[in-house]
Amino acid sequence: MKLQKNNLLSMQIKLSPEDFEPATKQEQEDLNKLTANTSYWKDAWRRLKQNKIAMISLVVIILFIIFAFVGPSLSPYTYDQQVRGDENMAPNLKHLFGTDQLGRDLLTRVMVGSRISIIIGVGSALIVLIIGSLYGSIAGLLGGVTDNIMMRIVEIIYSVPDILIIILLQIVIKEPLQKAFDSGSALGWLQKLGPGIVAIFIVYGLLYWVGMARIVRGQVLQLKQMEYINAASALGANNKRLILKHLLPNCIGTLIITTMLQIPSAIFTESFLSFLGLGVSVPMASLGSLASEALNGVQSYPYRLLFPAIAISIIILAFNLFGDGLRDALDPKMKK
Amino acid sequence: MKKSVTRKSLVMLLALTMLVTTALTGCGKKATNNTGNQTGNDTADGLVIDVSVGPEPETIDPTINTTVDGAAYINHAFEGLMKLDPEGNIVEGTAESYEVSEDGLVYTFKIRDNAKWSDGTPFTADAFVYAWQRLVDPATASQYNYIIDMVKNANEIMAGEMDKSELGIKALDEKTVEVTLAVATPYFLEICAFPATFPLREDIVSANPDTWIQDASTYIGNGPYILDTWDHQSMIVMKKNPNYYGVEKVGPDTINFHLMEDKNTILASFENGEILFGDDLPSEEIERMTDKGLYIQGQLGTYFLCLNVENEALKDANVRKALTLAIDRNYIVNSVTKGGQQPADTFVPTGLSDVETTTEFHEVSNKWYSVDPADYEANVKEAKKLLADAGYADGKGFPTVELMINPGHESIAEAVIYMWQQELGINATISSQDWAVFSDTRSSGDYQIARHGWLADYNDPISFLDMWVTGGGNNDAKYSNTEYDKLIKQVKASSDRKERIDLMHQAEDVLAKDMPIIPLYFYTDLYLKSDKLEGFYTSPLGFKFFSNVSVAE
Repeated sequence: MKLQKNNLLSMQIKLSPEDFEPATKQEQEDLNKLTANTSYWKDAWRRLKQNKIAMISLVVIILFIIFAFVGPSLSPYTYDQQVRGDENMAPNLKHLFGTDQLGRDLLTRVMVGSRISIIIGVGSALIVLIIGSLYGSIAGLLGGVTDNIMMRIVEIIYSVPDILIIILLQIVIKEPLQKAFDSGSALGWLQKLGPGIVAIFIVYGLLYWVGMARIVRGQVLQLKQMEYINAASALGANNKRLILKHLLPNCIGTLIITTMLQIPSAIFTESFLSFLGLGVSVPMASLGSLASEALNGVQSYPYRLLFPAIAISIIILAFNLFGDGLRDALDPKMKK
Repeated sequence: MKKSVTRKSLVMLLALTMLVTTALTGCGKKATNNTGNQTGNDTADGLVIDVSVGPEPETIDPTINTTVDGAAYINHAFEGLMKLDPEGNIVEGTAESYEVSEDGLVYTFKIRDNAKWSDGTPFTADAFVYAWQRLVDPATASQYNYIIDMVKNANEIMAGEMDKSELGIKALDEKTVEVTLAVATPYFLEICAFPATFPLREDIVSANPDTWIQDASTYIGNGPYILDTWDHQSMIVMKKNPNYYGVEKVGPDTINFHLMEDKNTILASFENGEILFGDDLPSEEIERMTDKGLYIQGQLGTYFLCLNVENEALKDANVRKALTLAIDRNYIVNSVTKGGQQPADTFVPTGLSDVETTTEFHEVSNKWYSVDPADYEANVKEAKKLLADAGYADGKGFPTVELMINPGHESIAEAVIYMWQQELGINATISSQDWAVFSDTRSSGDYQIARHGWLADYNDPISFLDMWVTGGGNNDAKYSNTEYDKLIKQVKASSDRKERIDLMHQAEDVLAKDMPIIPLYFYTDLYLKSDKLEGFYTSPLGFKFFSNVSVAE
C-alpha cells in the first residue's frame, strides 16, 4: 500500500516507527522534573527562604522564645527573688543585666517579662484570629441585610477608643476577677498576671477582632464567586461546611499574615499599658512594667531601662519584619 | 494630713513624651511657661520665683483641704489668728495679742487694726466666727472638723445635735474674737495656726460655696499673697498682697507654683533650674542628689500597714504580731526608701514632745518590738512561734492575703510580701489602685491589708492616737477596744499635761497589744532646694513657706 502524498496544508504528522518506542529513563526524569508538584506551602517556604531579612527575623524570634521560655529555668534566680546585699548592682558577672533596688536579678526579670509579652502577643492574636475570621466569613458569605448589619456593628466597634476601654474595663473587672481568684477557682494561674492582663485579653476579644473581620469578609466576598463554591453549594454543602472547609482554608495566607502582624501590636499594647501601671501586677514583671520601674532611677541606673527597652524593640521589630516577609511569601499578589 | 500621692501613670508617659520631644526638637526653647522671666531674677515685675510643692490640688478651700500641698497655697493666701514663724514658734498672726483665762478655757484675741482683706476691705472678727462655724457644720462635711473639737459645743454641732451658731466662738466687737473651750487644751494656739481655722469672707463664700476658690477675683484672703491665676494642671501664680499688714517684709513679688505630679519631672525641672524648690524626688535618685540640693528633714508622721481586723485570717492578734515581727524595717529604710527614715517601733512617731518638752513622747513610750538589726533574727523566731500558736505553723493553711497599695508604693510592698513569704511562708499578692479609689476602698474596709500613712496635724500624740477609737472616721482598720476608747476619752477630757501624756502612753500600749497596724517607718520630708533660695522654712507638719525668701545671686 502506498502512502498518500503529503498535502502542505494537511494536519497529518509524519510519523516514523521510532516515534513509537518507549521513552528512555532520561526523558522520563526530565519530564517529571519539569512538572514537579510544588504545593502552596513549599512554594511559600521557597520564597521565604530567599528573603534574608525575614529569615534573620525568624531566627531572632526563635532565639527570643528560647530566651523567654527556657531562660528563666536556667537562671539561678527567680524573677521575684530578692538577693540581700546585691541591691542596685550594675551589670556584672553575677548579674549580667545588673539588679534593681530590691536585689532582683534583672536578666531573669527581663526573661520572664519577655515571656509575658510573648504569651500576650500570641494569645491575643489567637483570640483575634478566631473571632475575626468567623465573624468576617459569616458576614461575607451570607451577604445582604445580614452582612450590612454585621458590618455596621464592626464599624461602631471600630470607632470605640481602645485604650480608654482597656482602662475602664480594668477598673470594672478588677473586683469580680479578684473574687474569682480568691474563691480559688480554676482561674488561679491567672492571678500572678493580675487583672490588668486579663482585661487586655478581654479587650482584644471585644474590640481588636474587627480589623481581622473586615479583611476576611473582603476575601470571602471574592472567593464566594468561585465555581468550586457554586459546586459545593450545588452538592448541598451547608454554610458551616462552606466556611470551614472551603472559604477559610482558601484565605489561609491572609489569616496567617494578619495574625502574625497582630502579635507585635498586642505586645506593644501590653508594654504600653504596663508602662502606665495598668498591666501586670507586681511583683510579676513585663517588659513595659520593667521600663516603667526603671524610669524612677533612670539617671542613676540607666541600664535598668536599657535592657527591657532593647528587648521590646527587638521583639517587635523581629515580629514585624517576619510578618512582612511572610506576606510576601504567602501572598505574592499583595507585594507592593 | 494625708500625704499627697503620685499618680505616675499618665503623667509618666507625658513626661517621657516630653523628654523625647525635647530631645527631638534639639534643645530649642526652654520649657518655662511663666511670664518669660527667668526664675529668681529681679525684673520689671520684681522678684519672681518658681517652685513646686505638689500636683494640681483637689481644693484650696481652707475648710475642705486635707493635703499638705493644698495647705501650702492656703498658708500663703490666708493667715490665722496665730502663725508659724521661721524659727518654728507659734506667734501672733492676724491677732495682735491674746489673753487666756486662768482656767485656760477662754481665749480672747485682739485683731490687728491694720488687718485688711486682699481686696482692701477692712478685716472684721466675724470672719473667724463664720469660718469656724462652717468648719463644724455637718453640711460642710469637712474632714478636719475634729481639729477644733475642744471648742465648746463643737462635738454636739458635728453630731447634728446643736445649731452651728452655738459654737463657742464669738466676735465681741469688730476687732475682738473670744473662743470658749470645753476642755483646756495645751496645744490650742497651734490649732489657731492650722489652715482649717483660717478666716473666710462670709459674703463671698456663702454666695458660691463650691466655686469661690476657682476664681482669683473671689479667692479673697488675708495672707501675704493673693491668687493671681490658677492655670489648672499647670501653675498657680501668687502675687504679693499690697493690703497685707506686713507687706514690706514679704519676700518675692511673684511666686509661680508649678503643679507637678511626677517625681522625675520635678527632679528634671529642678536640675534644669526651672524651679528653685521641688517637694519630692524618686527614691532611686536620692544618693545622687545628696549634697546637690537634697534636704531631709524630720517629719511628724508614720508609714504603716493597716490590717483589717474584721478579716477572718487577721482576726487573731497572734497572726497580726507575726506579720509585724517578720518585717525587717532596717532593710526597708536602707534599701527601699533611702530617705533617712527611721524604722518605726511604735505608732506615735519621733518629734512629738512628752511631759517635759525636752524629751520626746517616742523616747518614753514602750517599744512594740526591737528594731535593732541584731534582733531581727530573734523577731522572726518569735513571729514563727506566734504563727504556729495561731494554728498556721510555717504558714500552712494560711490563706493568700492581699496587700493593697496605691501607685508609687510598689517597692515597699514587694519587699514586705517577700519577707512574709520567706520568713513565715505566707503568700501575699499586691494590688494597686489609683489614689482616689484606693482611699475610698480603704476607708470602707473593703481590703485585707492596706498601706497607710499619717502625718500629725499638731504637735500632740493625740493627733495619731484618736484615729483608732471605735467608729472613728479614720479608723480604717475597723479596730475596736473599749479599754482604748475609754483611755482616749479620758485624754480628751483632761487638761493636765502629765495625766494626758500618761494616758496616751497607756493607750499606745493597748494598741501594741492588739496590733491592728504594722508601723514601718517614721516619715522624713525630702525636698530639693536650690542654694540660691534663702529664708525658706518648713513646719514640722510639712507646710512650706516662701513668703520670706530671697534669692542670692
